[in-house]
Amino acid sequence: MSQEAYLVENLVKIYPKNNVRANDGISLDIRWGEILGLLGPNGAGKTTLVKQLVGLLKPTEGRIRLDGHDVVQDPDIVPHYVAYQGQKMPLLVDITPREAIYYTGRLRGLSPRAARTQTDEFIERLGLHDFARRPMAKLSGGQQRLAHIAMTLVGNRPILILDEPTSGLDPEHRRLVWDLLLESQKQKGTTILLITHNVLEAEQVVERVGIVDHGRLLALDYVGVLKQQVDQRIRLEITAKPGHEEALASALRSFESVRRINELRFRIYLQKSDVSHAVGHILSDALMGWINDYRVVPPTLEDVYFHFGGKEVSVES
Amino acid sequence: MNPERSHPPGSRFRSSLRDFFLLTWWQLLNARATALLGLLLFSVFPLGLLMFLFFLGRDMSERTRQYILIGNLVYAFAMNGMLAVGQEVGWQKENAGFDFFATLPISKHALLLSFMTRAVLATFIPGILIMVLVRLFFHISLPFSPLLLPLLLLTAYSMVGAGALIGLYAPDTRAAVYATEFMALLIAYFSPLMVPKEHLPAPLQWTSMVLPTTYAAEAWRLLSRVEIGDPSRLVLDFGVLGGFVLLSFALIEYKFDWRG
Repeated sequence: MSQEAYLVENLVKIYPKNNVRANDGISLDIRWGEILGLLGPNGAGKTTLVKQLVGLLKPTEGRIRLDGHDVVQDPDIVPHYVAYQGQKMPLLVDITPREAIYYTGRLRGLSPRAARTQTDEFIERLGLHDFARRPMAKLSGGQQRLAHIAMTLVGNRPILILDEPTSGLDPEHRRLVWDLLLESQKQKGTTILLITHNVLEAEQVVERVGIVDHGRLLALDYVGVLKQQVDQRIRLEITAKPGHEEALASALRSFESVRRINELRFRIYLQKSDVSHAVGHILSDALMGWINDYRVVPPTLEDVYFHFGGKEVSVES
Repeated sequence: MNPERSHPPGSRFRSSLRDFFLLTWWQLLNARATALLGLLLFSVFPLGLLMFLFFLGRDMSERTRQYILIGNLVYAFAMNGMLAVGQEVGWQKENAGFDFFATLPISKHALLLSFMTRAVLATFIPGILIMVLVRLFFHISLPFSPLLLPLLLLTAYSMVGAGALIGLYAPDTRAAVYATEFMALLIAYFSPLMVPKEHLPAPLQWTSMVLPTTYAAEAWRLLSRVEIGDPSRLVLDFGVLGGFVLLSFALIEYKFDWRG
């Protein structure tokens, strides 16, 4: 077994039709048994990178090794190692989730009995019972997504590549999916490459993270290491009660680093040593009547994402 | 952890065959709700022609009725599959539907053949239905030949191959629909399917030579003794149909975007 699950060297992908350089010299490794997150804004080149990893696209230049095998030379090796869940769901109409999961397992080489056992297991774990026998076309987007996740997990591939796996799911099911993925990693040693926009959720599961933008890999390291490279100040986020926002804004002017995020929300950047004083101040009787909610937030993966070029959606100047 | 290939090379054929059956079953499961609608749709044109034959062709000789009937049946066995697969492949291609299958450890051939076989099955059901209706209500008998089954399979697969090619080359689903419908009409009215070849204008006689349905109809008529001709023509007809199947398969293989 090779030391790395994947080894990518100087990967370049140019789409000749519009001469777009979607990946520009990307090199990275994915280690066996880790959960690696790939973050980046829309159009950054993440999906192009992933499609090359799973052999759906041929690189213009560079090398991709999967457990030592050359993916460019032998893309047929990929499905024996990797289960891939793309953003687009397969075109399933009349087939039911139960059938789709079972036959995906069979096509991944499971025996009928093993495929049945795993199908039952994933239907149970992901809570698909109520609609497991209904045609896919009649399910909601979230239900289809859950079935798609089960189709990805069946067959126990050692590597999972998941492109926005929780998109369209409610918070309860998102949690369920993350728990299932973490369990798979811990118990079976599954290697997971996760592409997501949901940075806050990703932070709970990923160990290392890569930031991609404009086709380039801007950073790749452990979350903790990357966090050390961003603003180390603690954020105090305060939400005003409607009607009291201007009074609160005036009161918070005493903090030099205060920023207004939107009509009701304020953010104050604080050194660790100043946090307790600041919290004490806003919890004072004078201010508490104007405050709906407050949070003390240490540097997060989201900060790392924005630091390395991710685009924040806010009115912050 | 080292999964390597799930199928050792020695058993590749066996695993491809298994995948083919699983994928064909998958295709059938995924289209069962519309199967009846498809059956009705695919039966309308050949049944309409039969009605026409019944109402207007009372004075026709038995041989003429058989001639038109065989042309009609070839249409049912050949064209429906082409329409079905052409439009399905166009839809799958436009919506990246093949990406899911490409990430499974299956061969491209097994997947292609499963798409084509589903279309062939969709062809055989209306085809057989029409044969039964003909015998029950129109009292036109066609002599049976054991070579009929391979002939019908070659007919269906050759046109299904053409349909898959249209689906793959068409830029989007709409273009695939137009192209397959156009092809179906061209074959129905501008080839020697229901009109004897010598009655067609010379240019259409030439174009008919590149249509598999021309050879399928000729072979069926020879087998049913509706047309008297040199039996060696049969070998040519079967050979050409087989050639169409192989050629369409090779072109599909070349054009079909798969891994890498």
